[in-house]
Amino acid sequence: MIRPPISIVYAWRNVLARKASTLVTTLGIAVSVTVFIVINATADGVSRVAVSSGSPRNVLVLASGATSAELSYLDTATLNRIRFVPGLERDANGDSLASVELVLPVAMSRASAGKKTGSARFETLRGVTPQSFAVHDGVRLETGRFPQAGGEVIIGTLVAGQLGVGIGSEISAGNQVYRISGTFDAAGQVFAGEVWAPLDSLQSSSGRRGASAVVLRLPQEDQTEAMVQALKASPGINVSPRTEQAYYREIQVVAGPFAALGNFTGSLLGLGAVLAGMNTLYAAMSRRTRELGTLRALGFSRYFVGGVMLLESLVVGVIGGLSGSGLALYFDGFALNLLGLSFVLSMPLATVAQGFSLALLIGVLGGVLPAYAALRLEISQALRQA
Amino acid sequence: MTRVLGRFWTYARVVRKQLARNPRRTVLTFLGLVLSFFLYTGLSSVLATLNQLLEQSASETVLVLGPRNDVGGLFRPELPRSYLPTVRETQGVVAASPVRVYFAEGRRESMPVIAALGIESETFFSIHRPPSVTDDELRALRGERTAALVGQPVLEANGWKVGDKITLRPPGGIGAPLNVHLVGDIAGDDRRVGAAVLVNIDYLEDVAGDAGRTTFIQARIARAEFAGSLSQRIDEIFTNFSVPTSTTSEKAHMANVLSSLSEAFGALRAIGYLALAVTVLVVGNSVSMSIRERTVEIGTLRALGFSKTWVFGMVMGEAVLVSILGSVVGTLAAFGLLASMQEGQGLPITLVVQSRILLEVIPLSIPVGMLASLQPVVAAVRMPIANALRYAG
Repeated sequence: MIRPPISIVYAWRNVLARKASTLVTTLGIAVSVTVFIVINATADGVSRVAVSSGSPRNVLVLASGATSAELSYLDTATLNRIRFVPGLERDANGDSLASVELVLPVAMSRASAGKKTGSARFETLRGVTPQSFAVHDGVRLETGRFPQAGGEVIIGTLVAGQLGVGIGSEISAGNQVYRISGTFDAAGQVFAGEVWAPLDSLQSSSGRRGASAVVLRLPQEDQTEAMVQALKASPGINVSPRTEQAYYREIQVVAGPFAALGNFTGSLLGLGAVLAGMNTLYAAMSRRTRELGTLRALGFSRYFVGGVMLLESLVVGVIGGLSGSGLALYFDGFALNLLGLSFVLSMPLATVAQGFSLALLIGVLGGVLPAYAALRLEISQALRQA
Repeated sequence: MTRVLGRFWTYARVVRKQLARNPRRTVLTFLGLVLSFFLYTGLSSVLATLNQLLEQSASETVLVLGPRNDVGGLFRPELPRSYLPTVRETQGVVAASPVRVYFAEGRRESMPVIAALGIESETFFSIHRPPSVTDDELRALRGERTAALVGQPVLEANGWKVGDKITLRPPGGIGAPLNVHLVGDIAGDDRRVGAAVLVNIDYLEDVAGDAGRTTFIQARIARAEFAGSLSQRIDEIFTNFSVPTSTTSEKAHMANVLSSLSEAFGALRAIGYLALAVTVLVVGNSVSMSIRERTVEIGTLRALGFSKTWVFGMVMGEAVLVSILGSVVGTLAAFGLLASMQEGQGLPITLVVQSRILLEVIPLSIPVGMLASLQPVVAAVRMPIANALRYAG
């Protein structure tokens, strides 16, 4: 049987001998690792939604000067000119694949018997046609059916989960109450956090004849840039076209500050854990000075003595790192809504590994100075310690 | 009184000397406390800043009336201005004024959209008058049909100045353009209209059409506690009119908007509390280690006649003192960082760095210190004197 080295056994037993102190330091490390991982995973979630939304074959057309679909308005004449531009992919009936959409940010909540029942949160209500499913890759009806009457909507799976609603439930959007006729999935795209209503019904209820945007589908990916330039140069059409993927990638601007916040907060908490670990190890060293002197007298080198002190701190770091990573994984699969963007929290292995590395770093930093002090112990002085 | 002060001074000296006995432990515990309170203060300031944005830009004494069946409607005015006399006559309503929204393109492509608000200058400013707007500017707005007041950020972003005659065009060129004469500016820190263009509603109606209609009506009420009941009464009055209304307080409306950030707020708050909770454990651990090393000494003090209360107070006093010092330094460091960020980055919002946060956070350090040291101190004073004197660690 392979016996572990004495240093590891010695370090492990000393960690167990002071359970209360070990627990406190481990908790401090676990908290900083959890915060670091969760906040970075949130930033990663925002980026993931931004990158995975939109199709490489789609061109999104907004009104000139509009920076988002919510602030864009295209009148019917412009819509008709854009929808029938040449070069678009066609469906089985030979119609151009162009999805006309009206996008409205509204306060939504659960409803019952025509009245609001839950607290409101801002989500996107999008007026669409059945053609929208052909234009938006990965969006498919999961349960139920497309709305067939005014007053009906379909709801993205993320929003359904957050509001706790399903087919047949009612939701209040703005000042109207709708009945859910179906749910749809969107393969990790931003649409999974939206509610879709029939375009003509939404136009009628909002008093608009136009729409916010048109999404054009091209036969090939490499045709999108040419379409964007053609629309920009087209006389009489004053619009702001771009590829759909480029539009959604702009959401990523939110992710940067969030990741920075995660790194900063995790580091601050980690520094606190370093100080706590250092405190604990110095106290342990002062209690065991005679013991360490005895080890030196028995022939163990000063590097062994310093090394086991460092190893003890590292063991605490490992325990804290495993605990923190495990706690962070508990949040895996949580649905979040940040600035109107809905997504599922996912813990990528790289982020968890970074969190665990932070724990190891905390363990090392917390043990370096006490280990150095132990390394410099003189045998005679240590044995005389009361 | 002198005796009490004398005893307190002796007690304080003992506490100070005890802390100096193991300076390394004291410094490490102090630094840990500084970090925790630094983080807590920083997070509290961020939350206070966001709450202040809500309070300054929204009021509980201003109600907003919109069409009931409109879904997020800002593009088309539907509410009849003829509702105004009825709203004004409603008991509890002090003033009412229509607001019609008109969106315009920035001067160049990629510039942000401009929000122009058509207002009745006679009644709008009785609900909210930006402090920076002078009487002369008001007179100019009322005296000229095409006059406009512009928020300073809009002026700077579009390269305009007071006195210019400009044209506001709707996005996509859909709709009639609005030619206005800029007669005054509004300070950018006015949360309500600091980033808008105020024009005369009658002129806006003549240009954009839909005469007699407005986007929403603002109503100032006498008392905030009646906001809910007045909103309901107003909606009941108009329930059978051509355009039924939906009335809410400005603050409730803004709160809905900020609810999209509620999960982020909750997370920030949770992190702040976690930092404090871990601090309590860390300080408690430090006190435990200190007591363990001084158990024989504590037993000796007890044997000499010092009471349990005295020993209790001495040890807890050390923890509370370090906690207070750590919170003062941590809070001031957080304020320093926030102030330098405000200056260096030129943030568009004013970060809240107020003495009231100082007065909230620093007293928090006392229960933190007390809670942290409670268990180890109680265990130490309850130990029989003989056991304490025999304690070998």
